[in-house]
Amino acid sequence: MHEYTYTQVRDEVADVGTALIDAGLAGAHVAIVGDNSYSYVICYLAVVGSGGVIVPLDKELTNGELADLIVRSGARALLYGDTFAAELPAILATCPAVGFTLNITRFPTESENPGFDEFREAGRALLDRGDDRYQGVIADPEALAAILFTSGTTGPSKGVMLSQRNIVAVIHSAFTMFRFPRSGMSVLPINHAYEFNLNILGCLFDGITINFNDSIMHVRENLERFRPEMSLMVPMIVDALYKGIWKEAEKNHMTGYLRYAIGLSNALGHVGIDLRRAFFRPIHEHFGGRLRVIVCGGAPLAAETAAGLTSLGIDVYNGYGITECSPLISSNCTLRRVRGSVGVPCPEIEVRIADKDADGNGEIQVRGTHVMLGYFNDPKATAAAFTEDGWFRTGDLGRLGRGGALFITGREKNLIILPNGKNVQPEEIEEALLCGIGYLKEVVVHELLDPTGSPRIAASAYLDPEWVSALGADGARVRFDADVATVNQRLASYKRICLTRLREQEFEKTATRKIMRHRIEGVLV
Amino acid sequence: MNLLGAITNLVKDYAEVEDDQLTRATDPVRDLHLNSYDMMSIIGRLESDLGVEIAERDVRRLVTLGDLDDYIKAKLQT
Repeated sequence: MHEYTYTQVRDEVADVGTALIDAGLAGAHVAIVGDNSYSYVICYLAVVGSGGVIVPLDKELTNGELADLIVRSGARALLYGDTFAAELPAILATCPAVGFTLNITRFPTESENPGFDEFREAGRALLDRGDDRYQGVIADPEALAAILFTSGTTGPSKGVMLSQRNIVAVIHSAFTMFRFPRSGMSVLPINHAYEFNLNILGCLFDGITINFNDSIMHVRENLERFRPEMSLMVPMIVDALYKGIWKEAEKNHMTGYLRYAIGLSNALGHVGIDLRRAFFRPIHEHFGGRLRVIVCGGAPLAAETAAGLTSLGIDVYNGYGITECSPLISSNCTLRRVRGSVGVPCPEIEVRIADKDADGNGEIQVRGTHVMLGYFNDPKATAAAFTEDGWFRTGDLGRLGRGGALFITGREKNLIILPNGKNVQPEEIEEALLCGIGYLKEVVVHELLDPTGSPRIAASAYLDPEWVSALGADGARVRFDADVATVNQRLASYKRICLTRLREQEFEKTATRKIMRHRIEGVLV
Repeated sequence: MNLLGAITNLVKDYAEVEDDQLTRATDPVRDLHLNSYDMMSIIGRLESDLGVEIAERDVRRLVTLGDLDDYIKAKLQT
């Protein structure tokens, strides 16, 4: 375990920033991919601080997907974590513009030249000799500072352009709404706007200690080790923590006692007596003993989970956002919580509901200082994302309810939002299936509830009837599932198809021969 | 207990299944409806129980319990 002070952060950002300028990368687009770590944060800040544009990439993407985004972002340099060292040649084979690479893992298992510390020390030596190029960089708050790719690699994937003003505005909004405790843990993928802008930069802004969870495999262990007071999470993790509490209670024959204690604690809470931390101390010990705030976003959170954990003394605040809004749009917060809602709009954001139906539901549109500059190299998509009067179209459906709180009621886009906060474009997977399976005539990728009630990526397919009759229905099913498994191998793990359904008839179509996706039985909209 | 037995025992902590439902060909996400966080937690526990280090980037290549068994065996041998 290694500890760093805020003074070290300031100095090391200047070191790396100076070294980047000396390497001819002032103002360059620089891609970065790796695990959540101190050195990732230093590099990100150094790139932006030296006038460059940071391009954070999802570490779960395949080599081909990473290469595609590096090329599309115009990156001239790639900063990578140790786990990518062996795959670097494969990634860079199709990235001719990348002339500089750096392993940013501070204590790498693979020896690299130059390593992070060697590079940083070179910058420090320049500073010691009076090099003031980094300090001389004047930030333009309106200029492009970061490009964040929304999802996927084909047509629908877009590079969201954020300025420093966008990012500072979202931090200001979040920290106006919340009073956070002093120690947090970084759990979610650091390339996401939700994790980096709100958690990492937010904590730096407010002087909060950041503990880095080294892997999603070790969340429980690291909660016990670092004993954070708060964390940003996604519903998949929050649900797992909550279910784990009840599973443990069941194993120890304590379910009845726990229910009774919750009832008593809630009753005391109604008369202003909060004994949750005392009543449920043994549960809190499993999470390090000090965890009392979880901010949950990225996907819808079950109201039961939020209320359940809050009853146990861990306050769960869920919110709503989209990368294009840096990402926060609204959140339940310390000052106001409305059950079932995603909270009140942020101070720097205006929300309106367009084309309302009789119940007040319509498209959620926003404007304000969080809203992106546009999509990188995609003026057509940028134009389509905004209304004529300058409001950003989220593509989500909702209504404004009591106390000005926002309630999400659906989505206009086909986008699949998984419980881990990952967004998946169905069209991308459909293309992979249609290219990889010759006898597949039509396919729709969509969300479907599995037997446990969790949303999964499913493929409903219509196969060539002659091919099916030649193999027989059972044979066709077995072969189709095997071929889907082969296609899955080529997809990033979170995009894999978990469920398949075969149809005997073609899909119902519109007059222009487009499949009517919303007519597919069981599809979550 | 063999390695596959240790893996299936851990999986049973996360999914209510009988032993005969767990084979080398079982895909825990597809067949048992575990989510990716469950899988990561299982692999994290295998790491600490068996003293092997499993890179997150390798996990995406491990689909079935047999894949996991083979991967850890290879790690233990090196």
